[in-house]
Amino acid sequence: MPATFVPGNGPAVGDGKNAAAVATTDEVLARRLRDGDASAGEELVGRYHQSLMRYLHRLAGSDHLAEELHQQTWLSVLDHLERFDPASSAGGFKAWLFRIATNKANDHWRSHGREKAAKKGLKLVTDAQQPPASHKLEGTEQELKLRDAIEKLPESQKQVLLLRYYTGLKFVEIAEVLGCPLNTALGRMHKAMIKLRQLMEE
Amino acid sequence: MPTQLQHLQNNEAILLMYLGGELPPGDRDEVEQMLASDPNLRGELDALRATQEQLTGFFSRADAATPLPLARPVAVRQVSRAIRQWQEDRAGAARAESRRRIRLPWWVYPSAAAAAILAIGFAWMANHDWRFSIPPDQQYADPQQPNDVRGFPNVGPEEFEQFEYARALRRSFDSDNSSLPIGREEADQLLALSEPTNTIFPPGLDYDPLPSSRP
Repeated sequence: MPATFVPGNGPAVGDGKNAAAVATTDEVLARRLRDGDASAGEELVGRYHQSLMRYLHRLAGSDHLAEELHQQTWLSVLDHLERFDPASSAGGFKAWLFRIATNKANDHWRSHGREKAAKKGLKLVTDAQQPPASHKLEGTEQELKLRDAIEKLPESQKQVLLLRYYTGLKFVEIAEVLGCPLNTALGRMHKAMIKLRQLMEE
Repeated sequence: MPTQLQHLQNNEAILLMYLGGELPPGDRDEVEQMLASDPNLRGELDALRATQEQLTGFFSRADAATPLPLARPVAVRQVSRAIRQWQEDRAGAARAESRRRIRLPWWVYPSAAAAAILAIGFAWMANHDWRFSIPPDQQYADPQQPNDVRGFPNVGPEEFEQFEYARALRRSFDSDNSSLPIGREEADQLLALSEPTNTIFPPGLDYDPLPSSRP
């Protein structure tokens, strides 16, 4: 069995249960949540807390923004839960959740770009109010280096890499989450891996 | 028969899929044959695997040293509040929707339509002469029958009284004057009174309130 970058190596998703079983359980929980069972929602939030928060944290590069995106992601999940169809979504609830999270991050960057242009380079209030993600990480050189290296990756490569590592989704599912062809997702992944390794070795 | 390999554009894509264990068995066997016969490809695979392991190590160590921005209980609490709010909003929206769409029994709609048609019909009849719809033999009053006002729907109390006078006169004169309860002057007076009423008697009845046979 060849070594893999993600599955089995990333943060636990579904407490280490069989992926298919987790997907089924997620769907059941999602249906229960849709039917008004708040505890099912809490279970889902708890289950994906670590992987989703890590993904958003790496993607956003700040604690505050990761928290905000986490909240927005779940609000969006609630808003669109009626339309969630496990049968038509490859990767099930997990892929759907991370697609929403990725879209929320993209929305933020688009809006961030507009705000930046409007303010002519003035720093965003949210950034100014919050300490950088590295604030709590004094002494963790590895973390700082990885964070800087990830920051230097193009957004599209960063998303594939982080989705692969933090969700354990298959490349086919990642391609669907990002709305791109499989070969594109694989190309981005390959470039991201090579570039990240170079940056980490500098 | 390989199915997915033919869709992958280059070696990097094939090797990534191979490393991820995402190729179907047939494709996987073919890649292993290629690796066995191509040292360069095997070198690429080894380099890619080493990079994966290196990056996995970077991520693992960095994550281990980095607390999550939001603790799990706090995150769950935050989202729980949002879920409760969402449930309340949804219940409110459902209540509003059900109020908007009160479902009536099926028979209400045809009944309402029938009532509307009747109301329109009555309104039309009140404003139009609808006597044409009465069969000819029933259109006019039978002079032999007291209080028969068929054909005279608009006869008011006053006209009806005159009408009755005229009937009384006729009956009196027709019975050979023997039971005439009034004198000549009074009869003239009554006939004068009944004059407007005569106009409502059917044409061709040839009713003469003062027949020539009277004394």
